[in-house]
Amino acid sequence: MKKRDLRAAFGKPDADFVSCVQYTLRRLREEEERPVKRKLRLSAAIAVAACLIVATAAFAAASHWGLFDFLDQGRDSGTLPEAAEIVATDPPQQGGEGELASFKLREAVYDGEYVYMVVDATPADGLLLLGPGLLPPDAMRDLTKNASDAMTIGEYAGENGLQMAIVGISTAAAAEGVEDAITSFDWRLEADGTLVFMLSGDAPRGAGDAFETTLLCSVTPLVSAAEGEGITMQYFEEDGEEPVSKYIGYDVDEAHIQRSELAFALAAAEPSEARAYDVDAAYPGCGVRVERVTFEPSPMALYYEIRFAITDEAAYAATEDGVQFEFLDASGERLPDGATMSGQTAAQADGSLVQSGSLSAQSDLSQIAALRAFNCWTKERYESHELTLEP
Amino acid sequence: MTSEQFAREIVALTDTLYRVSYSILREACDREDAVQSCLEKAWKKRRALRDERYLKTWLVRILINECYNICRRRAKEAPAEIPERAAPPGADPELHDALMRLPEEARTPIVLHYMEGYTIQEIASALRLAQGTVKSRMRRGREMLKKLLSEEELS
Repeated sequence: MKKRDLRAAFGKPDADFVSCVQYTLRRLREEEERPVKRKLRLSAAIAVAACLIVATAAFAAASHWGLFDFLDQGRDSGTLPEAAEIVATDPPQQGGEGELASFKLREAVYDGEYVYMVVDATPADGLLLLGPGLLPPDAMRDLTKNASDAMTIGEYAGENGLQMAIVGISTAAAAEGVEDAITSFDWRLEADGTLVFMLSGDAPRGAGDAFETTLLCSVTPLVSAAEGEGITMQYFEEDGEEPVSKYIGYDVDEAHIQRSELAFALAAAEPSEARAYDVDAAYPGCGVRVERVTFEPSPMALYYEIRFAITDEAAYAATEDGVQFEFLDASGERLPDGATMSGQTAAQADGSLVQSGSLSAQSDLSQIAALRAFNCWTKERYESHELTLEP
Repeated sequence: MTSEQFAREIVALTDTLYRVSYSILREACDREDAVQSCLEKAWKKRRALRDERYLKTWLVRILINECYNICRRRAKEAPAEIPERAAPPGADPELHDALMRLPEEARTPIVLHYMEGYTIQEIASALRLAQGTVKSRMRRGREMLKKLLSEEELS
Protein backbone atom coordinates (compact mmCIF):
# COMPACT_ATOMS: atom_id res chain seq x y z
CA MET A 1 0.00 0.00 0.00
CA LYS A 2 1.31 3.39 -0.93
CA LYS A 3 0.84 6.30 1.48
CA ARG A 4 0.09 9.68 -0.06
CA ASP A 5 0.02 13.15 1.41
CA LEU A 6 -3.31 14.68 0.51
CA ARG A 7 -1.91 18.16 1.13
CA ALA A 8 0.11 17.75 -2.07
CA ALA A 9 -3.03 17.29 -4.15
CA PHE A 10 -3.46 20.96 -5.07
CA GLY A 11 0.18 22.08 -5.03
CA LYS A 12 1.26 25.37 -3.54
CA PRO A 13 -0.63 28.64 -3.95
CA ASP A 14 0.26 30.37 -7.20
CA ALA A 15 1.98 33.77 -7.18
CA ASP A 16 -1.23 35.64 -7.99
CA PHE A 17 -3.03 34.12 -5.03
CA VAL A 18 -0.17 34.89 -2.64
CA SER A 19 0.12 38.47 -3.85
CA CYS A 20 -3.67 38.86 -3.57
CA VAL A 21 -3.51 37.88 0.12
CA GLN A 22 -0.53 40.12 0.78
CA TYR A 23 -1.91 43.08 -1.11
CA THR A 24 -5.31 42.83 0.60
CA LEU A 25 -3.70 42.73 4.03
CA ARG A 26 -1.43 45.65 3.23
CA ARG A 27 -4.36 47.68 1.94
CA LEU A 28 -6.49 46.90 4.98
CA ARG A 29 -3.66 47.87 7.32
CA GLU A 30 -2.97 51.10 5.46
CA GLU A 31 -6.63 52.03 5.43
CA GLU A 32 -6.84 51.46 9.15
CA GLU A 33 -3.61 53.16 10.08
CA ARG A 34 -4.13 56.40 8.18
CA PRO A 35 -6.96 57.86 10.29
CA VAL A 36 -4.97 57.10 13.43
CA LYS A 37 -2.30 59.49 12.29
CA ARG A 38 -4.84 62.28 12.27
CA LYS A 39 -5.39 61.73 15.97
CA LEU A 40 -1.84 62.76 16.90
CA ARG A 41 -1.80 65.44 19.57
CA LEU A 42 -1.22 68.89 18.09
CA SER A 43 2.22 69.27 19.67
CA ALA A 44 3.31 65.90 18.36
CA ALA A 45 1.89 66.71 14.96
CA ILE A 46 3.82 69.99 14.84
CA ALA A 47 7.04 68.24 15.80
CA VAL A 48 6.50 65.59 13.15
CA ALA A 49 5.60 68.23 10.57
CA ALA A 50 8.78 70.21 11.36
CA CYS A 51 10.90 67.13 10.74
CA LEU A 52 9.00 66.34 7.58
CA ILE A 53 9.37 69.83 6.11
CA VAL A 54 13.15 69.49 6.22
CA ALA A 55 13.05 66.20 4.44
CA THR A 56 10.13 66.84 2.10
CA ALA A 57 11.87 69.09 -0.39
CA ALA A 58 14.59 66.57 -1.09
CA PHE A 59 12.52 63.41 -1.03
CA ALA A 60 9.05 64.51 -2.10
CA ALA A 61 9.40 63.41 -5.68
CA ALA A 62 10.96 60.13 -4.65
CA SER A 63 7.95 59.28 -2.47
CA HIS A 64 5.40 60.01 -5.16
CA TRP A 65 3.67 57.17 -6.88
CA GLY A 66 5.50 55.95 -9.93
CA LEU A 67 4.45 54.12 -13.04
CA PHE A 68 4.46 50.67 -11.45
CA ASP A 69 2.56 51.86 -8.37
CA PHE A 70 -0.30 52.84 -10.65
CA LEU A 71 -0.09 49.67 -12.71
CA ASP A 72 0.01 47.37 -9.67
CA GLN A 73 -3.01 48.81 -7.86
CA GLY A 74 -4.91 45.89 -6.42
CA ARG A 75 -3.11 43.28 -8.49
CA ASP A 76 0.15 42.28 -10.04
CA SER A 77 0.22 44.03 -13.39
CA GLY A 78 2.39 41.24 -14.76
CA THR A 79 5.31 43.21 -16.13
CA LEU A 80 8.65 41.48 -16.55
CA PRO A 81 11.54 42.53 -14.27
CA GLU A 82 13.31 44.12 -17.23
CA ALA A 83 10.39 46.54 -17.61
CA ALA A 84 12.01 48.68 -14.91
CA GLU A 85 15.00 49.12 -17.20
CA ILE A 86 13.00 50.74 -20.00
CA VAL A 87 11.39 53.43 -17.86
CA ALA A 88 12.63 56.88 -18.93
CA THR A 89 12.97 59.09 -15.85
CA ASP A 90 12.68 62.87 -16.32
CA PRO A 91 12.84 62.60 -20.13
CA PRO A 92 13.65 65.77 -22.13
CA GLN A 93 10.57 68.03 -22.30
CA GLN A 94 9.51 71.58 -22.87
CA GLY A 95 6.88 73.78 -21.24
CA GLY A 96 4.44 72.86 -18.52
CA GLU A 97 5.06 75.93 -16.36
CA GLY A 98 2.33 78.14 -14.97
CA GLU A 99 1.37 80.34 -12.05
CA LEU A 100 -1.24 78.00 -10.65
CA ALA A 101 0.53 74.71 -11.25
CA SER A 102 3.51 73.33 -13.12
CA PHE A 103 3.45 70.07 -15.04
CA LYS A 104 6.35 67.70 -15.46
CA LEU A 105 6.66 64.32 -17.16
CA ARG A 106 8.48 62.32 -14.48
CA GLU A 107 8.40 58.78 -15.85
CA ALA A 108 7.49 57.29 -19.21
CA VAL A 109 7.67 54.12 -21.23
CA TYR A 110 7.06 53.80 -24.92
CA ASP A 111 7.53 50.20 -26.00
CA GLY A 112 6.60 50.70 -29.62
CA GLU A 113 3.00 49.67 -29.03
CA TYR A 114 1.75 51.45 -25.95
CA VAL A 115 2.75 54.58 -24.09
CA TYR A 116 2.70 55.02 -20.31
CA MET A 117 3.29 58.45 -18.77
CA VAL A 118 3.44 59.72 -15.19
CA VAL A 119 2.94 63.49 -14.95
CA ASP A 120 3.33 65.50 -11.74
CA ALA A 121 1.08 68.56 -11.38
CA THR A 122 2.64 70.68 -8.63
CA PRO A 123 0.30 73.38 -7.30
CA ALA A 124 1.14 76.89 -6.19
CA ASP A 125 0.85 77.51 -2.45
CA GLY A 126 -2.71 77.49 -1.17
CA LEU A 127 -4.19 75.49 -4.05
CA LEU A 128 -5.81 72.05 -3.96
CA LEU A 129 -5.75 70.36 -7.37
CA LEU A 130 -8.74 68.22 -8.35
CA GLY A 131 -8.67 65.45 -10.92
CA PRO A 132 -10.71 65.90 -14.11
CA GLY A 133 -14.45 65.65 -13.49
CA LEU A 134 -14.18 66.00 -9.72
CA LEU A 135 -16.11 68.70 -7.87
CA PRO A 136 -16.16 69.91 -4.24
CA PRO A 137 -19.06 67.62 -3.18
CA ASP A 138 -17.12 64.53 -4.35
CA ALA A 139 -15.34 62.32 -1.86
CA MET A 140 -11.76 63.12 -0.91
CA ARG A 141 -10.96 59.43 -1.37
CA ASP A 142 -11.53 59.90 -5.11
CA LEU A 143 -8.47 62.13 -5.03
CA THR A 144 -6.26 60.33 -2.52
CA LYS A 145 -7.30 56.72 -3.33
CA ASN A 146 -7.49 56.25 0.43
CA ALA A 147 -10.81 54.53 1.16
CA SER A 148 -10.84 55.75 4.77
CA ASP A 149 -10.97 59.43 3.77
CA ALA A 150 -14.47 60.36 4.88
CA MET A 151 -14.49 64.08 4.03
CA THR A 152 -15.64 65.63 0.81
CA ILE A 153 -13.10 67.54 -1.25
CA GLY A 154 -14.86 70.80 -0.35
CA GLU A 155 -14.70 70.01 3.36
CA TYR A 156 -11.01 69.16 3.12
CA ALA A 157 -10.24 72.35 1.22
CA GLY A 158 -12.20 74.40 3.75
CA GLU A 159 -10.51 72.77 6.72
CA ASN A 160 -7.07 73.41 5.24
CA GLY A 161 -7.74 76.89 3.84
CA LEU A 162 -7.11 75.80 0.23
CA GLN A 163 -8.63 77.11 -2.96
CA MET A 164 -9.74 74.33 -5.31
CA ALA A 165 -8.77 74.11 -8.98
CA ILE A 166 -9.69 71.44 -11.52
CA VAL A 167 -6.89 70.04 -13.66
CA GLY A 168 -7.47 68.88 -17.22
CA ILE A 169 -4.99 67.05 -19.43
CA SER A 170 -5.51 66.09 -23.04
CA THR A 171 -3.35 65.71 -26.08
CA ALA A 172 -3.03 68.31 -28.77
CA ALA A 173 -4.01 65.61 -31.27
CA ALA A 174 -7.34 65.09 -29.48
CA ALA A 175 -7.98 68.83 -29.57
CA GLU A 176 -7.52 68.70 -33.34
CA GLY A 177 -9.98 65.84 -33.66
CA VAL A 178 -7.27 63.26 -34.30
CA GLU A 179 -7.51 59.93 -32.47
CA ASP A 180 -6.31 60.44 -28.91
CA ALA A 181 -3.37 58.41 -27.65
CA ILE A 182 -4.64 58.55 -24.07
CA THR A 183 -7.22 55.90 -23.34
CA SER A 184 -6.61 55.38 -19.63
CA PHE A 185 -6.47 58.07 -17.00
CA ASP A 186 -5.72 57.81 -13.29
CA TRP A 187 -4.46 60.14 -10.60
CA ARG A 188 -3.49 60.31 -6.96
CA LEU A 189 -3.10 63.29 -4.64
CA GLU A 190 0.18 63.04 -2.75
CA ALA A 191 0.66 64.28 0.81
CA ASP A 192 2.63 67.33 -0.38
CA GLY A 193 -0.25 68.44 -2.64
CA THR A 194 1.19 67.17 -5.92
CA LEU A 195 -1.48 65.60 -8.11
CA VAL A 196 0.20 62.71 -9.90
CA PHE A 197 -1.36 61.55 -13.16
CA MET A 198 -0.93 58.25 -14.92
CA LEU A 199 -1.83 58.43 -18.57
CA SER A 200 -1.60 55.55 -20.97
CA GLY A 201 -2.86 54.46 -24.34
CA ASP A 202 -2.10 53.02 -27.74
CA ALA A 203 0.58 54.82 -29.63
CA PRO A 204 -0.93 56.23 -32.83
CA ARG A 205 -0.42 54.06 -35.89
CA GLY A 206 2.77 54.98 -37.62
CA ALA A 207 4.41 56.34 -34.47
CA GLY A 208 7.28 53.94 -35.15
CA ASP A 209 10.44 54.41 -33.15
CA ALA A 210 9.43 57.74 -31.61
CA PHE A 211 6.28 58.89 -29.89
CA GLU A 212 5.92 62.65 -29.98
CA THR A 213 3.11 64.47 -28.32
CA THR A 214 2.07 67.70 -26.67
CA LEU A 215 -0.07 67.58 -23.58
CA LEU A 216 -2.52 70.44 -23.13
CA CYS A 217 -2.70 71.08 -19.40
CA SER A 218 -5.34 73.33 -17.87
CA VAL A 219 -5.94 74.49 -14.31
CA THR A 220 -9.39 75.95 -13.64
CA PRO A 221 -9.76 77.68 -10.25
CA LEU A 222 -13.07 77.58 -8.43
CA VAL A 223 -14.47 80.53 -6.49
CA SER A 224 -17.45 80.77 -4.14
CA ALA A 225 -20.75 81.49 -5.86
CA ALA A 226 -23.87 83.16 -4.54
CA GLU A 227 -26.85 80.91 -3.90
CA GLY A 228 -28.57 79.94 -7.13
CA GLU A 229 -25.49 80.73 -9.24
CA GLY A 230 -22.47 78.90 -10.54
CA ILE A 231 -21.87 75.21 -11.21
CA THR A 232 -24.76 72.78 -10.90
CA MET A 233 -24.61 69.04 -10.38
CA GLN A 234 -27.24 66.74 -11.81
CA TYR A 235 -28.16 63.53 -10.07
CA PHE A 236 -31.05 61.09 -9.73
CA GLU A 237 -32.86 60.80 -6.43
CA GLU A 238 -34.02 57.39 -5.29
CA ASP A 239 -36.94 56.27 -7.50
CA GLY A 240 -36.65 59.57 -9.39
CA GLU A 241 -37.12 59.45 -13.13
CA GLU A 242 -35.86 62.93 -13.95
CA PRO A 243 -32.45 64.24 -12.91
CA VAL A 244 -32.36 66.83 -10.17
CA SER A 245 -30.08 69.88 -10.46
CA LYS A 246 -28.34 71.34 -7.46
CA TYR A 247 -26.01 74.33 -7.15
CA ILE A 248 -22.75 73.37 -5.48
CA GLY A 249 -21.83 76.86 -4.21
CA TYR A 250 -18.85 77.31 -6.51
CA ASP A 251 -18.23 78.85 -9.90
CA VAL A 252 -15.39 78.72 -12.40
CA ASP A 253 -12.97 81.65 -12.19
CA GLU A 254 -12.69 82.01 -15.95
CA ALA A 255 -10.40 85.02 -15.78
CA HIS A 256 -7.66 82.99 -14.12
CA ILE A 257 -7.71 79.69 -16.00
CA GLN A 258 -4.16 78.54 -16.71
CA ARG A 259 -3.40 76.82 -19.97
CA SER A 260 0.03 75.39 -20.67
CA GLU A 261 1.60 72.92 -23.04
CA LEU A 262 4.03 70.16 -22.21
CA ALA A 263 5.86 68.76 -25.24
CA PHE A 264 8.14 65.75 -25.36
CA ALA A 265 9.31 62.89 -27.56
CA LEU A 266 9.89 59.35 -26.36
CA ALA A 267 12.09 56.88 -28.17
CA ALA A 268 10.75 53.33 -28.47
CA ALA A 269 12.46 51.33 -25.75
CA GLU A 270 12.69 48.07 -27.60
CA PRO A 271 11.87 47.02 -31.11
CA SER A 272 9.06 44.48 -30.85
CA GLU A 273 8.29 41.83 -33.40
CA ALA A 274 4.64 41.02 -33.98
CA ARG A 275 3.69 37.36 -34.36
CA ALA A 276 0.55 36.72 -36.37
CA TYR A 277 -1.34 33.43 -36.53
CA ASP A 278 -4.13 32.58 -38.93
CA VAL A 279 -6.94 30.84 -37.09
CA ASP A 280 -10.20 29.30 -38.22
CA ALA A 281 -12.23 28.95 -35.06
CA ALA A 282 -16.02 29.06 -35.09
CA TYR A 283 -18.00 30.16 -32.04
CA PRO A 284 -21.59 29.33 -32.99
CA GLY A 285 -22.82 30.13 -29.47
CA CYS A 286 -22.22 33.81 -30.13
CA GLY A 287 -22.23 33.80 -33.93
CA VAL A 288 -18.63 34.71 -34.70
CA ARG A 289 -15.51 33.19 -36.23
CA VAL A 290 -11.97 34.12 -35.22
CA GLU A 291 -9.70 34.55 -38.20
CA ARG A 292 -6.42 35.87 -36.92
CA VAL A 293 -4.59 36.39 -33.65
CA THR A 294 -1.59 38.70 -33.40
CA PHE A 295 0.79 39.06 -30.47
CA GLU A 296 3.32 41.79 -29.79
CA PRO A 297 5.61 40.98 -26.85
CA SER A 298 7.09 43.66 -24.60
CA PRO A 299 8.54 43.68 -21.07
CA MET A 300 5.43 45.69 -20.11
CA ALA A 301 2.81 43.30 -21.45
CA LEU A 302 1.98 40.80 -24.17
CA TYR A 303 -0.23 42.86 -26.43
CA TYR A 304 -2.71 41.02 -28.60
CA GLU A 305 -5.27 41.58 -31.30
CA ILE A 306 -8.02 39.09 -32.13
CA ARG A 307 -9.69 39.61 -35.49
CA PHE A 308 -13.11 38.03 -35.85
CA ALA A 309 -16.10 38.15 -38.17
CA ILE A 310 -19.81 37.84 -37.50
CA THR A 311 -21.13 34.62 -39.03
CA ASP A 312 -24.61 34.49 -37.49
CA GLU A 313 -26.25 37.91 -37.17
CA ALA A 314 -29.06 36.67 -34.91
CA ALA A 315 -26.76 34.86 -32.49
CA TYR A 316 -24.41 37.83 -32.38
CA ALA A 317 -27.26 40.31 -31.86
CA ALA A 318 -28.44 38.21 -28.91
CA THR A 319 -25.12 38.93 -27.18
CA GLU A 320 -25.83 42.69 -27.31
CA ASP A 321 -22.30 43.32 -28.60
CA GLY A 322 -20.99 41.55 -25.51
CA VAL A 323 -18.68 39.09 -27.26
CA GLN A 324 -15.17 39.05 -25.87
CA PHE A 325 -12.37 36.53 -25.83
CA GLU A 326 -10.11 35.26 -23.08
CA PHE A 327 -6.91 33.27 -23.39
CA LEU A 328 -6.69 30.08 -21.32
CA ASP A 329 -3.71 28.08 -20.13
CA ALA A 330 -3.40 24.29 -20.35
CA SER A 331 -5.45 23.94 -17.15
CA GLY A 332 -8.32 25.93 -18.58
CA GLU A 333 -7.54 28.90 -16.34
CA ARG A 334 -7.89 32.39 -17.75
CA LEU A 335 -4.49 34.00 -18.29
CA PRO A 336 -4.25 37.24 -16.32
CA ASP A 337 -4.71 40.56 -18.08
CA GLY A 338 -1.69 42.73 -18.65
CA ALA A 339 -1.00 46.35 -17.86
CA THR A 340 -3.37 47.86 -20.38
CA MET A 341 -7.12 47.97 -20.66
CA SER A 342 -8.33 44.69 -22.10
CA GLY A 343 -11.20 43.71 -24.25
CA GLN A 344 -11.68 46.83 -26.37
CA THR A 345 -13.37 45.90 -29.60
CA ALA A 346 -13.32 48.11 -32.68
CA ALA A 347 -15.12 47.65 -35.98
CA GLN A 348 -12.87 47.58 -39.05
CA ALA A 349 -13.50 49.06 -42.47
CA ASP A 350 -13.99 45.56 -43.95
CA GLY A 351 -16.78 44.76 -41.47
CA SER A 352 -14.68 42.54 -39.23
CA LEU A 353 -14.09 43.28 -35.55
CA VAL A 354 -10.82 43.46 -33.65
CA GLN A 355 -10.51 42.95 -29.92
CA SER A 356 -7.28 44.36 -28.56
CA GLY A 357 -5.81 44.10 -25.11
CA SER A 358 -2.91 42.65 -23.23
CA LEU A 359 -1.87 39.70 -21.12
CA SER A 360 0.79 39.60 -18.43
CA ALA A 361 4.17 39.95 -20.08
CA GLN A 362 5.79 36.63 -20.94
CA SER A 363 8.97 35.72 -22.71
CA ASP A 364 7.23 33.22 -25.02
CA LEU A 365 3.70 32.14 -25.92
CA SER A 366 3.89 28.69 -24.35
CA GLN A 367 1.33 29.47 -21.64
CA ILE A 368 -1.39 30.18 -24.19
CA ALA A 369 -3.38 27.01 -24.88
CA ALA A 370 -6.87 28.07 -25.91
CA LEU A 371 -9.13 30.96 -26.79
CA ARG A 372 -12.60 31.08 -25.26
CA ALA A 373 -15.42 33.43 -26.12
CA PHE A 374 -17.61 34.87 -23.41
CA ASN A 375 -20.25 37.50 -22.93
CA CYS A 376 -18.92 40.49 -21.03
CA TRP A 377 -22.43 41.43 -19.83
CA THR A 378 -23.81 38.10 -18.68
CA LYS A 379 -20.45 36.31 -18.17
CA GLU A 380 -21.84 33.39 -20.15
CA ARG A 381 -19.02 31.32 -21.57
CA TYR A 382 -19.25 30.12 -25.14
CA GLU A 383 -17.01 27.69 -27.01
CA SER A 384 -13.30 27.30 -26.47
CA HIS A 385 -10.73 26.44 -29.16
CA GLU A 386 -7.22 25.17 -28.75
CA LEU A 387 -4.52 27.41 -30.17
CA THR A 388 -1.34 26.04 -31.66
CA LEU A 389 1.18 28.85 -31.60
CA GLU A 390 4.40 27.75 -33.23
CA PRO A 391 7.37 29.92 -32.23
CA MET B 1 -4.76 40.65 18.59
CA THR B 2 -3.03 43.58 16.92
CA SER B 3 -3.41 44.20 13.21
CA GLU B 4 0.21 43.16 12.76
CA GLN B 5 -0.33 39.84 14.56
CA PHE B 6 -3.51 39.27 12.64
CA ALA B 7 -1.81 39.92 9.30
CA ARG B 8 1.05 37.59 10.29
CA GLU B 9 -1.38 34.81 11.19
CA ILE B 10 -3.24 35.23 7.91
CA VAL B 11 -0.04 35.07 5.87
CA ALA B 12 0.81 31.83 7.67
CA LEU B 13 -2.60 30.48 6.64
CA THR B 14 -2.19 31.33 2.95
CA ASP B 15 -1.78 27.65 1.96
CA THR B 16 -4.96 26.74 3.83
CA LEU B 17 -6.91 29.55 2.20
CA TYR B 18 -5.65 28.43 -1.19
CA ARG B 19 -6.51 24.75 -0.68
CA VAL B 20 -9.99 25.43 0.67
CA SER B 21 -10.85 27.87 -2.11
CA TYR B 22 -9.32 25.53 -4.71
CA SER B 23 -11.58 22.75 -3.49
CA ILE B 24 -14.70 24.81 -4.19
CA LEU B 25 -13.84 27.20 -7.02
CA ARG B 26 -12.30 26.25 -10.34
CA GLU B 27 -11.32 29.71 -11.63
CA ALA B 28 -8.23 31.41 -10.20
CA CYS B 29 -9.87 34.83 -10.43
CA ASP B 30 -12.83 33.58 -8.39
CA ARG B 31 -10.51 32.19 -5.72
CA GLU B 32 -8.78 35.56 -5.48
CA ASP B 33 -12.14 37.36 -5.23
CA ALA B 34 -13.22 34.96 -2.50
CA VAL B 35 -10.07 35.34 -0.43
CA GLN B 36 -10.14 39.11 -0.81
CA SER B 37 -13.75 39.35 0.41
CA CYS B 38 -12.96 36.88 3.19
CA LEU B 39 -10.02 38.94 4.45
CA GLU B 40 -12.01 42.18 4.29
CA LYS B 41 -14.80 40.67 6.39
CA ALA B 42 -12.39 38.99 8.81
CA TRP B 43 -10.42 42.21 9.23
CA LYS B 44 -13.51 44.20 10.13
CA LYS B 45 -14.76 41.58 12.55
CA ARG B 46 -11.44 40.45 14.00
CA ARG B 47 -12.04 42.07 17.38
CA ALA B 48 -15.15 39.93 17.74
CA LEU B 49 -12.95 36.83 17.75
CA ARG B 50 -12.72 36.05 21.44
CA ASP B 51 -10.26 33.18 21.33
CA GLU B 52 -7.31 33.42 18.97
CA ARG B 53 -7.03 29.63 18.89
CA TYR B 54 -10.13 29.56 16.71
CA LEU B 55 -8.79 32.02 14.13
CA LYS B 56 -8.21 29.35 11.50
CA THR B 57 -11.62 27.75 11.92
CA TRP B 58 -13.31 31.13 11.93
CA LEU B 59 -11.42 32.35 8.88
CA VAL B 60 -12.09 29.21 6.86
CA ARG B 61 -15.78 29.46 7.69
CA ILE B 62 -15.86 33.00 6.27
CA LEU B 63 -13.91 31.85 3.20
CA ILE B 64 -16.28 28.95 2.56
CA ASN B 65 -19.23 31.34 2.70
CA GLU B 66 -17.55 33.63 0.20
CA CYS B 67 -16.75 30.69 -2.09
CA TYR B 68 -20.35 29.50 -2.00
CA ASN B 69 -21.57 33.05 -2.70
CA ILE B 70 -19.44 33.06 -5.85
CA CYS B 71 -20.68 29.57 -6.77
CA ARG B 72 -24.25 30.81 -6.54
CA ARG B 73 -23.42 33.75 -8.79
CA ARG B 74 -21.65 31.45 -11.23
CA ALA B 75 -24.40 28.82 -11.21
CA LYS B 76 -26.32 30.59 -13.94
CA GLU B 77 -23.28 30.92 -16.18
CA ALA B 78 -21.71 27.50 -15.77
CA PRO B 79 -21.59 25.49 -18.96
CA ALA B 80 -23.55 22.25 -18.94
CA GLU B 81 -20.38 20.23 -19.20
CA ILE B 82 -17.46 21.46 -17.13
CA PRO B 83 -14.09 20.44 -18.55
CA GLU B 84 -11.67 18.73 -16.21
CA ARG B 85 -9.13 20.82 -14.36
CA ALA B 86 -5.47 19.97 -14.93
CA ALA B 87 -3.29 19.67 -11.83
CA PRO B 88 -1.36 22.89 -11.12
CA PRO B 89 2.45 22.82 -11.07
CA GLY B 90 3.82 21.02 -8.00
CA ALA B 91 0.61 19.10 -7.34
CA ASP B 92 0.29 15.32 -7.14
CA PRO B 93 -1.60 14.85 -10.42
CA GLU B 94 -3.22 11.50 -9.55
CA LEU B 95 -4.48 12.76 -6.21
CA HIS B 96 -5.56 16.03 -7.76
CA ASP B 97 -7.53 14.35 -10.50
CA ALA B 98 -9.13 11.88 -8.13
CA LEU B 99 -10.19 14.64 -5.74
CA MET B 100 -11.53 16.75 -8.57
CA ARG B 101 -13.71 13.87 -9.69
CA LEU B 102 -15.48 13.83 -6.34
CA PRO B 103 -18.61 15.93 -6.01
CA GLU B 104 -17.81 19.20 -4.23
CA GLU B 105 -20.06 18.28 -1.32
CA ALA B 106 -17.79 15.31 -0.57
CA ARG B 107 -14.51 16.91 -1.58
CA THR B 108 -14.61 19.93 0.73
CA PRO B 109 -15.16 17.91 3.94
CA ILE B 110 -12.30 15.63 2.92
CA VAL B 111 -10.03 18.59 2.20
CA LEU B 112 -10.91 20.17 5.54
CA HIS B 113 -10.36 16.96 7.46
CA TYR B 114 -7.35 15.39 5.78
CA MET B 115 -5.54 18.49 4.56
CA GLU B 116 -6.43 21.00 7.23
CA GLY B 117 -6.93 18.76 10.26
CA TYR B 118 -10.48 19.85 11.07
CA THR B 119 -12.61 17.71 13.35
CA ILE B 120 -16.02 16.50 12.19
CA GLN B 121 -17.61 19.02 14.55
CA GLU B 122 -15.58 21.90 13.10
CA ILE B 123 -16.43 20.87 9.56
CA ALA B 124 -20.10 20.63 10.44
CA SER B 125 -19.93 24.10 11.92
CA ALA B 126 -18.02 25.57 8.96
CA LEU B 127 -20.35 24.03 6.37
CA ARG B 128 -23.47 24.51 8.49
CA LEU B 129 -24.30 20.83 8.27
CA ALA B 130 -25.24 18.19 10.80
CA GLN B 131 -22.30 16.07 11.96
CA GLY B 132 -24.04 12.96 10.63
CA THR B 133 -24.28 14.56 7.19
CA VAL B 134 -20.57 15.41 7.24
CA LYS B 135 -19.72 11.86 8.23
CA SER B 136 -21.82 10.30 5.49
CA ARG B 137 -20.42 12.67 2.85
CA MET B 138 -16.89 11.91 3.98
CA ARG B 139 -17.56 8.18 3.99
CA ARG B 140 -18.92 8.38 0.47
CA GLY B 141 -16.01 10.57 -0.64
CA ARG B 142 -13.43 8.23 0.89
CA GLU B 143 -14.95 5.24 -0.84
CA MET B 144 -14.92 7.00 -4.18
CA LEU B 145 -11.39 8.21 -3.62
CA LYS B 146 -10.14 4.74 -2.72
CA LYS B 147 -11.73 3.35 -5.81
CA LEU B 148 -10.26 6.10 -7.96
CA LEU B 149 -6.83 5.65 -6.48
CA SER B 150 -6.97 1.88 -6.86
CA GLU B 151 -7.17 1.28 -3.13
CA GLU B 152 -4.12 3.32 -2.33
CA GLU B 153 -4.10 4.48 1.28
CA LEU B 154 -4.55 8.06 2.41
CA SER B 155 -1.91 9.36 4.73
